[in-house]
Amino acid sequence: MTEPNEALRQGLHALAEQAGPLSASATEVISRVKRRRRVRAVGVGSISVLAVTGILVGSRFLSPGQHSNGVAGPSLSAHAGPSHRTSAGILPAPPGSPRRFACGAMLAGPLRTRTANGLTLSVDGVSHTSTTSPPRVQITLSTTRSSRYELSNDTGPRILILRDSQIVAGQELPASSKPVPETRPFTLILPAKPTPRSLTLTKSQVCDGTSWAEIWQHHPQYQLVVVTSTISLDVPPPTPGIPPAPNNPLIVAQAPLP
Amino acid sequence: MADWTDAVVRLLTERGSTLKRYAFLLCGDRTEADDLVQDAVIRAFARLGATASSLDAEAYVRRCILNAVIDRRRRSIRWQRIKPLVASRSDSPDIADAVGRKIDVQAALEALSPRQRACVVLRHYEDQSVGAIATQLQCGEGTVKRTLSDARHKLMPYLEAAGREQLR
Repeated sequence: MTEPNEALRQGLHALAEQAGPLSASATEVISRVKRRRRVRAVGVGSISVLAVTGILVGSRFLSPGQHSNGVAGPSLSAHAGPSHRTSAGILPAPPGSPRRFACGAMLAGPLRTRTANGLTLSVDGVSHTSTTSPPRVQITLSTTRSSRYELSNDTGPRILILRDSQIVAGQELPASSKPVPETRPFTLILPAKPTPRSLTLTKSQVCDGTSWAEIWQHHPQYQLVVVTSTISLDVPPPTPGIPPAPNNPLIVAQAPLP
Repeated sequence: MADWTDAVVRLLTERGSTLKRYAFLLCGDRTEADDLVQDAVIRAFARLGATASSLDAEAYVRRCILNAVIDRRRRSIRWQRIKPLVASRSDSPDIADAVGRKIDVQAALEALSPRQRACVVLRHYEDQSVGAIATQLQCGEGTVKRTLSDARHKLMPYLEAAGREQLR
């Protein structure tokens, strides 16, 4: 095949000579390169901005029962034993949207404060009528000055049962994948003295893998938490040099189960 | 003037004709070869950094030309498959008729698939090794050898005619 290959090679070189000179303007090529580079830079910049925005928006609205990869965390129908604990915490609610408490979510860290906006929450007593019933809780809301607060039904006061800081039972726990219904806030006027109130765990739900019998039987392993958040309607004028405190922090009071 | 603009000018003036010959062999059309080279140079310098030299760019430009030709031919082959439905039989090229009319190597190359044509040009015009061709086409060396063999088989009528011409 050497001779045919040589003939082919000669034929190709002869054909290539018929191509003629290149007719392309260097100026036009340079201007098109510049234009393409600009488009490319704008495209990369836009994609970067969109990606960062998406990450910020996604992390803001990620519910407590969801992992960062977007997979829904354990809801009420999911197993919520200690081996299935999630790393998600209770996220501060964005303005205008309710906080969400889901099975398996962690209640941890800086949210453990008993006083906010001059309002202090404490648990005075926990009782239960039978080993299969939810607890009845006595709480006290107290203020140092007479003030008006706006309470919302979605954030309490709400009772949660924790095991190793993980929610295993609670009051009207929403499934993490379902939106929380809008609730109408109501105004609470508190005098400048302790105001005891009684809470019952109504519409209580226990996460899968747990039962009230199990909770009462092994009560030292569990912890009762009352959470609420308020908006003070009588915000004092800001002191010069001191930044104002956030207006709807989560107030958490804890108590052991009897 | 920036470095890369100098590199563009140098590449087009010093290597432009060579690149066009390469593109012309791959596509078989002078106007299309001009477009191929120009598009490849634009793509190369838009993607390469500001310090790209003409030498760096030429290899990238050749790769762009090759990929563009194969992609375009694939698209045109789809058209050729349905072309008999709308065209008369005499419109279709025939390699035997072409050889009978002593048509040149360009017509013979038209009978090859894009990949076969690329292999033939790279092997017999660019004198590249089978391994280098396999790297450029992103396939195995065995595939290149088989493709070259198939191409030679299709070109055999042309090659035999060329041999007879040399004997005269």
